[in-house]
Amino acid sequence: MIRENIPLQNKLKLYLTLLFVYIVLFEFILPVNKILPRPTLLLESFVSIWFEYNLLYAFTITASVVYLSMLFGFIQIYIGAARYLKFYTLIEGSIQSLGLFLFLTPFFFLAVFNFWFPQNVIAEFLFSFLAASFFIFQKLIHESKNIKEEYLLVARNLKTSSYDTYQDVHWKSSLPGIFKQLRQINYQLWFLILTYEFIGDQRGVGAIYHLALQYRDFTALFTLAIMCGILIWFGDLLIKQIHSKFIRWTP
Amino acid sequence: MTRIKNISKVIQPSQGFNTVLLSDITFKIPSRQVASLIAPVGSGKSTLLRIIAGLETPTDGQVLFENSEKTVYIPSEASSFPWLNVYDNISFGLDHSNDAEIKELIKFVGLEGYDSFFPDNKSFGFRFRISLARSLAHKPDLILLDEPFNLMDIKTKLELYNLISEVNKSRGITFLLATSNISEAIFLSDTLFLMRTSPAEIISEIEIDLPSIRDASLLSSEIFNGIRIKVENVFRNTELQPHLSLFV
Repeated sequence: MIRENIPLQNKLKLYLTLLFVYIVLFEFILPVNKILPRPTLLLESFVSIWFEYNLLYAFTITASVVYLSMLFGFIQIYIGAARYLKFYTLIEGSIQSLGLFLFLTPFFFLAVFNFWFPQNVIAEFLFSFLAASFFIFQKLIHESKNIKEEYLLVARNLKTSSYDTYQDVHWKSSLPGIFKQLRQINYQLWFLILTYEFIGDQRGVGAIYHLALQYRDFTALFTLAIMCGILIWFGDLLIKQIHSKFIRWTP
Repeated sequence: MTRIKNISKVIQPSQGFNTVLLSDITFKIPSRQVASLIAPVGSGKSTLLRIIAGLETPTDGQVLFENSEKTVYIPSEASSFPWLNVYDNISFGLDHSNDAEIKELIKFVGLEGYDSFFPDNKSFGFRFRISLARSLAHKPDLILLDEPFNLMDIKTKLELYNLISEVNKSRGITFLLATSNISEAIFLSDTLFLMRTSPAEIISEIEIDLPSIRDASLLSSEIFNGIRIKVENVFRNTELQPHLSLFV
């Protein structure tokens, strides 16, 4: 990932240089190769691929699953933050004793969901929603453990109810951290859902990847990567904008 | 009057030895006065204040209130919530907030016109004024100040000393200030409690006989220096190296 503190002008120079090297190398020096497709070929197939693979439909499904599940996951944690945190403090010990489950990779859950609900877009959304909620809640727990002691002392001293303390102090204090994490969750969810669609017989972009790989369609793989990159970047930009507009404080 | 009776606090870490932080602390906080608890850094002042506020439990002893006194604790670090504006910070924790009352408090602490400002990135003085107004909104009988002036410049400190005196005189609210700054304590207080460390114990109580209206010129006066030397001698006689910070 490009670091944030590199000036925009330098970033642009870097991208243009890479593009120039790519065009010269793969258009003129190595037009036939198995590393990267020819730039002109990529341009030509960029339009046709949309119709051949019904890409608009696939992107609509995948992008909707990722962003809607993230939105609903966030709303769900926002509404239930107090109850969830309270419940978590009660069962924290038991959860820690189940630490062995942490060594199960997300791939296992992907496979199990695909096994239980084959070709089911609602199950895909449910999986994405649970994953987003889990990631957001994990961050909320982490942030609320590092909350400034003074805020909690003041809340306790002013006899604020535990519900209000969780909702007004823990949640609000955790929001900057959660929004930072949302950018990472955006990336993680795209990866998870593309894999989910890739291994199952689904209808999203992951399934198109599968198909393109079967057809050994080199340019399609690159077009998909570029489109996914643009969508992930757009999501990242949106989260950044919301963060800077509404979450102006540092805890 | 609030009576602190035989308060002890033993810290019991999960590993290592027990530490006696507070040992048999007994004193009375006179009503409608400003009292100060002077002790070196790390002696357990904050713990004692939190015990008085009911935020920590003592190992032994009790805090007795004459009436059912409402106690508000202002921590040493800035405690105004950065996600709430000045108005919402002050009305935080109130069941029924009175708009006129909150606005009057904002004006009283010198934040008029800043109602919708957020405290994030504001000075410690600004944030202390919010904490003080928030405390006053809860109509307390006793306000506990835990070294709130440490990171402030002298001009802000003097302004806030005057504000505290004004709150004390006009609203009859009792203050207990925990500090390691002798001059600050003398300037603000009617009574001083000197506390030694390891374990913390009250070693002396001194009544301050200074004019009720105090300004910066008092700091260089003979009577002020006389009290200051008296306090320092008490600490010296207890063979302490208190490292008490001096007034700037």
